[in-house]
Amino acid sequence: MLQKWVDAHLISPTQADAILGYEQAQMNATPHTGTQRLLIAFSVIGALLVGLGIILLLAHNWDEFSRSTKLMIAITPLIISQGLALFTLQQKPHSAPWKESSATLAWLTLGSALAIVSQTYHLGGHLGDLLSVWMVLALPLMYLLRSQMAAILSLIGITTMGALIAYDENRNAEQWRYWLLLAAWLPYYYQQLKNTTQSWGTAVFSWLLALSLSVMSLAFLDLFFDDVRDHLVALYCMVIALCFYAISRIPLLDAMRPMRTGFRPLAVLAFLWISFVYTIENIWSHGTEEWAYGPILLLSLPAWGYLMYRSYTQKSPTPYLPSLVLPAAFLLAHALSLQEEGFIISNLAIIIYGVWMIIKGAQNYAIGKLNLGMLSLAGLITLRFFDEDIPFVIKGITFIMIGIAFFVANLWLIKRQSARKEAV
Amino acid sequence: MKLRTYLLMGLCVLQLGVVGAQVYRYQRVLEQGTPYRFLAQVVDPYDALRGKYITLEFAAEAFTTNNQNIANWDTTQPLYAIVTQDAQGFAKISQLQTTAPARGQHYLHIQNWYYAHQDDGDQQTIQLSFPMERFYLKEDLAPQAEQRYNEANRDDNPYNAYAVVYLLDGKAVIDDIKINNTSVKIPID
Repeated sequence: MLQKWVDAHLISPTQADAILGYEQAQMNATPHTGTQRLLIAFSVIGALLVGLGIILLLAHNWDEFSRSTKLMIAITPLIISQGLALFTLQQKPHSAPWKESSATLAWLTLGSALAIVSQTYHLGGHLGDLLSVWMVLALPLMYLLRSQMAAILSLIGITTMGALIAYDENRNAEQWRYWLLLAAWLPYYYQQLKNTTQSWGTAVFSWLLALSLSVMSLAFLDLFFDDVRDHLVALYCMVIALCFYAISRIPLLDAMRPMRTGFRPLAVLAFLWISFVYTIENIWSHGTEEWAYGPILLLSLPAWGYLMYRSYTQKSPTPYLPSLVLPAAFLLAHALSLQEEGFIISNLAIIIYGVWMIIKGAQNYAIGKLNLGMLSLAGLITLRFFDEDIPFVIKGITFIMIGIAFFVANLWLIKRQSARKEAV
Repeated sequence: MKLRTYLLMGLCVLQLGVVGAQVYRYQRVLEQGTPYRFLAQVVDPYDALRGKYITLEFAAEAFTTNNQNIANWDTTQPLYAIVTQDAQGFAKISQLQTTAPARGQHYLHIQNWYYAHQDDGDQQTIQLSFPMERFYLKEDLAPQAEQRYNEANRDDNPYNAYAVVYLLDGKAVIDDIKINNTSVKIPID
């Protein structure tokens, strides 16, 4: 239709392009309808199945075929899916099902072609090397076809490649390949964050990115510090969790619902898990050299600094405090080489955290926070109940006090809720 | 949009190019290289992406010498193993060197190796890791190959199992594996 107008000299070709571009942006901004989503999902699943099926068939090792036949079988699917991708760009550039499925097929058939060649010539070699070649060649697909599926597959592939290389004793230093590829991947994620912050796709990407970084960050620290692998590993994990928490407070990510970011839930889970581990007294009786904590403290400074800065700009320090209490407590206790005191501090830290979460959850009617607080306290109580070293008297008194606190908190919440209902 | 199409075309050419270059590199070894028979030992594992294969360990990977000059090499540097035939017609390593050999010589490029053993005399043993280490087989044939190898190994003849390997410019491609002179690619019923 636009072409007709251009031909009739009603509008210029430049204007026609501008109109098309505007409409395209409008279409991208509006979320897909249910039917459209279903169509996309089915085409992607179809493409995935076909692609994976091809890979499985090749793994069967068709010896009956000559070398050249095998190579034909390897390269033909790749050429076909490349053709489909080009067709999509030319003829169906706005169709999400076409873009997603052709990108998925192209991604998978590239891997199968590389794998068949490797099998035909009996090439051994590290799987990480084949994955490196695959990932480098496949990465542009997600940008050129604007395909979310290709981006997801690429991130999974890059992480697998990174993990295989980094966790191999001799090749840890080569993990820079992972970081380089990740840097090439991030612009897509950034676009996704900026344009569709609240979408389901962004949540998936955030979680995958958080998981990918979880796998690789310890390996990264291992490059620089010698003691990452011994009993200080929990503290290094704490530092990484702190960085994740700081990342989740970056404005773009902070705008998302917390559970969707991946970084925040993982950070909180890590804090809690490590805290619980440290409430066991045995851990504290491990002596350590004094300045082992130096690098750990240094590493946590950027994250803390950023969180301080953010809470300053938000003009209210309280939102970030609870999550800082736990790591701060640990690092301090460890640094001061406290033993029984360390044990008491970590228990106190969890109690404070739990109570704070409950209060905040009650104030804001945030069920998630409330539950998290209650679960933390309940977990701590269970652990201490079975702790043989605490005398019964202390156990008894503490439990009674906590029980009273629970009753009071419940009563207060119920009163507040009914007052709110009456006000409505 | 046009730019993206051109970029995609460029990417497709690049992908096909990389795959094609790999094919060319190794096909050349088979067509222009020289075949050698390496005595081999057979084991049977599994690669989820690339298929079922048997792993090979070669007798020639253990290199023993009295030459004292080789005792002080840096184990991270690659070595070049010159390949010749022994009296029984099987391949053996005649010498190791740290510099690349002249063109036309038959050799293997060794990335991984270590000093294995030095006895009281001047004998030094270096354990090499040959670049060819696996042979892909149809899933049901791989365990058969391992089984046939174990059976063949029970007699006293040390020359039962060998791999036919083509060498060219330091690269090696395995063409076939023979146990008791029968190829492993042929199934036994």
